[in-house]
Amino acid sequence: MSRSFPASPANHNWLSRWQQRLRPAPHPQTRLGYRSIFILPTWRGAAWLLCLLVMLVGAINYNLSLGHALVFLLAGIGLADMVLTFRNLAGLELHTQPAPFVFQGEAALFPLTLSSKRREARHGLRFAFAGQPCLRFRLLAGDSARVAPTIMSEHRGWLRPGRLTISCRYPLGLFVAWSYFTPDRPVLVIPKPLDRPVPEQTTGHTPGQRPLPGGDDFHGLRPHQMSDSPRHVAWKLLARGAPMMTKQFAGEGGETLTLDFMLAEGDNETRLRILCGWALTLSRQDRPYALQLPGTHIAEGRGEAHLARCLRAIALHDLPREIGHT
Amino acid sequence: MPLGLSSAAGLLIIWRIWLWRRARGLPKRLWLWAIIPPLCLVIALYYRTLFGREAGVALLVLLMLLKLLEARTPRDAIVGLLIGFFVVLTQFLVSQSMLAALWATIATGLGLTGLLILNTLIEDDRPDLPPARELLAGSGRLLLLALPFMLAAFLLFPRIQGPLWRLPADSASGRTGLSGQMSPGDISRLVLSGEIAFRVQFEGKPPDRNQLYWRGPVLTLTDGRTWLRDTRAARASRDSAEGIRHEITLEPHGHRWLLALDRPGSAVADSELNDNGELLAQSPQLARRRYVASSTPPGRNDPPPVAATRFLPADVNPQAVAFGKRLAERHPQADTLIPAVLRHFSEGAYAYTLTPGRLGKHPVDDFLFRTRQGFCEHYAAAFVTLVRAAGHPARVVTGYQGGERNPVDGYWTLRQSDAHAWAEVWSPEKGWQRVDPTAAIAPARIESNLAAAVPANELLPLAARDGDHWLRGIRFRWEAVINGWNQWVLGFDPERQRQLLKKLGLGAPDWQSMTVGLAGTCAIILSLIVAWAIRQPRHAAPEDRLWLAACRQAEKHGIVRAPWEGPLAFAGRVLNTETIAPQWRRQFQTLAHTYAALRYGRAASDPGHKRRIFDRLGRQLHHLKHPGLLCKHTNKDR
Repeated sequence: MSRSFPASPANHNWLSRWQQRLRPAPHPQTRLGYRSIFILPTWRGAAWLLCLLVMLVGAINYNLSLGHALVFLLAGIGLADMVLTFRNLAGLELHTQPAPFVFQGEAALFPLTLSSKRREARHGLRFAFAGQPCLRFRLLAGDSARVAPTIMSEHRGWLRPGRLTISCRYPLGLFVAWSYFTPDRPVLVIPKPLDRPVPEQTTGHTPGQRPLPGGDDFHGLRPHQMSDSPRHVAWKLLARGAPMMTKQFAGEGGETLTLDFMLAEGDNETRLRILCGWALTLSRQDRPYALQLPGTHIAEGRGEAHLARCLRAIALHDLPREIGHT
Repeated sequence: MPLGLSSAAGLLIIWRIWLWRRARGLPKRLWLWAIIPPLCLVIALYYRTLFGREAGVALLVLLMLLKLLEARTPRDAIVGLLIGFFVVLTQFLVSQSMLAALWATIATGLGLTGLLILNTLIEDDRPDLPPARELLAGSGRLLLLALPFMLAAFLLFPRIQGPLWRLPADSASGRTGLSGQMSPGDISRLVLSGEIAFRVQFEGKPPDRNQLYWRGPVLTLTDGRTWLRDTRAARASRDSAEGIRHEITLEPHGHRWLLALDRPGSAVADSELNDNGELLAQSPQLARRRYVASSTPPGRNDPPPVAATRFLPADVNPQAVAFGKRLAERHPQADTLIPAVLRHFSEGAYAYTLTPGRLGKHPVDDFLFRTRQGFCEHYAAAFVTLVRAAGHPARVVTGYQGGERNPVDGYWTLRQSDAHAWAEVWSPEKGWQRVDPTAAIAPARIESNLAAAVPANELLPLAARDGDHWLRGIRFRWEAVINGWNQWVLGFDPERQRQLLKKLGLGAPDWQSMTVGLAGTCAIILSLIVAWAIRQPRHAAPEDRLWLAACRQAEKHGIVRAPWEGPLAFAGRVLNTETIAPQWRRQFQTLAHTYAALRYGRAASDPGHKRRIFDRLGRQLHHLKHPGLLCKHTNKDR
């Protein structure tokens, strides 16, 4: 019945407990509880306190009893703001969501689903990874929503998210409350594709086939299967009342195009970028292809899943083995 | 604040609103900075200083308005708001009445809402604001949470008696009250004001009304018409703290004397008792003040009178002087002289009135022999003139007489309409004795109050009249409320705080333990509020709560619902579990179906139908919890 939230460590060492709070281990979800939220005054809070002190001195000097009451009321408001700012974060639940790959140099998104059981809205929530731009959000009452803080990607491969800081300065901005969360899903960063013409020559050969120019010649129809791309469905026929049929093209079952690491020119990174560009182009044209990297060979295929496998192989080529989710 | 400044402030506000409405840009910063020096000059010229209290307030208001004009972003506006809270504080320099407190609360609430709005604009990602209801609820919640802290701090924060440093004296803007000099007509004018002069609370039994003389400034010097104080009086050598103790809450009157019951026996804090029996403070009384005095009847140990107490100007009031000398021949001793003069008044067809006629160059003569009507100042002045002419030292004492007891809180209220003047005569055996000629003329004035003494057609302030009973009753209650406000909220000085803590049974703590107590109380309040704040909210929908309760019952039987299992699926699983009694399983399935119908079915749209199904759900849950009752009620739930 209970969800698997990060359990408190069984360490008796308070130092390691503190370290766990400051740098939480990666986890798929969390609920911000009172033990993991920090709170401190902001500059505005310090200015507020200064105003209060000056007002108090004035009230004492002129024996203004109501002045004392006003100062105490404002001080009480400051304390109430502290509690409410804390409360704005407490109870917020975050769940990591799968994220698509991004190209090198783009901002990698780490989508999270926020949910809150509370009846009041949570305003002014800020999400930011260290050194990255801040994402602001307002969660309405009883709502759940998706936010996606970003990290600018620099290298290819798995981009593991660091520690996410969730903070807020609502309602009055006199205090800032923050908490940490480390999502556990990394995002795959693909090298930025370079647009080069696809080599029609292949080094590998499949027996019994001869290369045919182009893959766009209409060849015929066959009954539709679930795995066929919707792009190839004969819609006009369907509209006229015929059963669902898939168009066949000449290139199908024809030549095998192998994207070879050695065929690309340039240094390793450039080669990988060129390979990416080829794979994307071919995938757009819905032509089958195989991938050949030093140490990795992916058999011919087509479709989204094949593209994903290829891109992943390209992105992770020759990188030290990462721990992480696949 | 001067009219010019108020109107300038109003104009600035209007201009700002106009700019906002028309969505025009704000004036350049340079202009605003340029306006500041001339405005400062205007303020300095008007108040004659830039650092006094009122000048400071004017500067503050100006600063806030200029900030308003200069604010471009919400952050700038927040600075303006903080200055605004300062301005609210300065309002208390003018008045701390309950109305002022109400106004300040409203202003604080508005400022808080403004702060909330500005911060929401800064923090949220969207430019639109939440609805006004939500904003007001937010600031209301903040105020409500702040109240316990305010009360705790108000009671426990160690109060320090101000002022902490000397400030340049501000003008004692016109206040009514005794002025330290008396001319014919002064007191009868003063009596027309119904303003409260001071309040008294007696420690024991209060004296009789005809002994309630409240001593104010003593007037010794005269030019025949006007009587003045003798400021050269020496400090009294004798001090005694015995006598009738009473606590006086004196309204500010701008002078240095403190009022007390005739005659004060000892000095109160930061004041001196002088030979005239006056209590003089160090500085003019500009704020309401509370002190305890004790009074004894004058005794033989009075020092001999100074020469001024016998002096009469040579060529003023010749008839009165001659008459006085004649009286002295017949009654050489003071003991017989005084009653003779009083007899002259009471048998001489004299009248007591608020509106005596005009008096000429010799006012006492005109009063004694021509007009024969006057108010207490005429009688007192005439009496002292006659006694001095007869060769005895005498002086005029001004102050108050009588007072009105508020039955609601037991406080005596003295108003300006109780102002009075009487005389004192010195004799070697008895020292200074009080003689009140008004008692001979209009004893009703002394025995009851002014309204009983003057003819009915003379106009008196409402408070001084004997009105209808119910009106008076309301007035008493209202004045008791205001007095309570003055005594306990406004007058909450270190002395009162000690009294309150003693009453609460906390003994007499010093400021360290008070601070610790305050910190402890605040910590307790804070932890209570935090516990409220982080509590897990319950599910919004009541039927979900019932369903979860049913699932907890199932847990007790050892079968746990997975988070993704819907009610029907879970019920199916329960039905197939052999370890539970079949009747219970069937009951659970019925409940699950009811819940599903309620939550997801068509019944959800019709509130009446929903209510019935909800009640049924409740009953089914009850049966689930108490299986023993199952047999009796099963038929109802089909």
